[in-house]
Amino acid sequence: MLKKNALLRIIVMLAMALLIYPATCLSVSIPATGDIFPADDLKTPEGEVYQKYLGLDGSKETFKLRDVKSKLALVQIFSMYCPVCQREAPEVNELYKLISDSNLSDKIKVIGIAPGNSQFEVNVFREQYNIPFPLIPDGDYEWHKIMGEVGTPYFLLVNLESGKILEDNLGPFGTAQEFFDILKRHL
Amino acid sequence: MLKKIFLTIFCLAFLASANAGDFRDDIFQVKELKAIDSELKVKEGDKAPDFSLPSTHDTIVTLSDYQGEKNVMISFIPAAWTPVCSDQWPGYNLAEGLFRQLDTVVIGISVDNVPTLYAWTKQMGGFWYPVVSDFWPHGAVAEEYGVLRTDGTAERAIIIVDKEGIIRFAHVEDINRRPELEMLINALKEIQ
Repeated sequence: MLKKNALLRIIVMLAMALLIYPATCLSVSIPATGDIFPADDLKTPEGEVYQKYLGLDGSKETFKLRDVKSKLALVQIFSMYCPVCQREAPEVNELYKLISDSNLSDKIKVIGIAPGNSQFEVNVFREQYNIPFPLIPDGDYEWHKIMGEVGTPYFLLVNLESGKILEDNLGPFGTAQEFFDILKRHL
Repeated sequence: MLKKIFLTIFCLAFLASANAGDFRDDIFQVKELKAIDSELKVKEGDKAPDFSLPSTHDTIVTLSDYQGEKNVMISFIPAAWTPVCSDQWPGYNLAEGLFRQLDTVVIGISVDNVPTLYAWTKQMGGFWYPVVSDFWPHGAVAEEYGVLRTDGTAERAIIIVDKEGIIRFAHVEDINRRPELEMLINALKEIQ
């Protein structure tokens, strides 16, 4: 009888731990594959060419990811201060080129979002690496908090119709070709 | 039943370890700190106190050696292997072209010892500018500039010294934040 009680106690404790574990995760949860991409406002990127690329109304200061005219969006969370992001920048450019060269630019849009970076800092990153896609500053980390203060770089592939995250990748994604092959599976 | 319990424990442990698998685990996480914990002892217009400190490249870096040659942006940071600091100096690496255009060198100063700074800066990919150690006498240069905190770390401070050796910009940032690059570049533009 005692053994049974002890076992029951362990089961109850484990059940409580299971309940508490997701709750603690929720407070810092990082959106990942299977989750819905947060519908919060993003700053409209500066530059008509980038607004046009995303199909956005440039007169509005903010937009939501679902406003982007495309089937998929690859969101890259980065920082000009992040050495890993710096090292990976040419590879991300290569990925963008693979998308363009495959005539998939209308179906997969690439967007960089930089927590803690000002417009000036984002521009330094763009100029240094000749980034061809829109880069959006999140100077006060407001959006970064919604994203569970995730480390950089972090990549999310989002279905723009459903808002569902189809792929996530924390850290460098390997070669552009490998990652491109993964993205293409969702078209 | 026992098997099920052990299986559950195993799964929980696996979930927890998978969640902790961030690639930047080497960085020590710091809680929000008191924004500023010292009082600047230098001001714009002062002659910059000279210093000679050992660098991660096994050289001695002397501030006055740059006099008549380059503007110097001295970047004090609190400590190696901490989150904001690890997200500050790599940016000055990226902005090398901007600093060079403005005839400026950066000197990174930390109260950590040379081996620690060597390992940390190497992990970040190395820098084009010298990183020097104000370890011993502990934080002596930081103390002279008035940026040594009561816990022995330094403030996140930027001191810009012109080619005459005069301080033209002195800024102590909230230790929990990173000074915005545009502010620093504008300060350098003003002394051209």
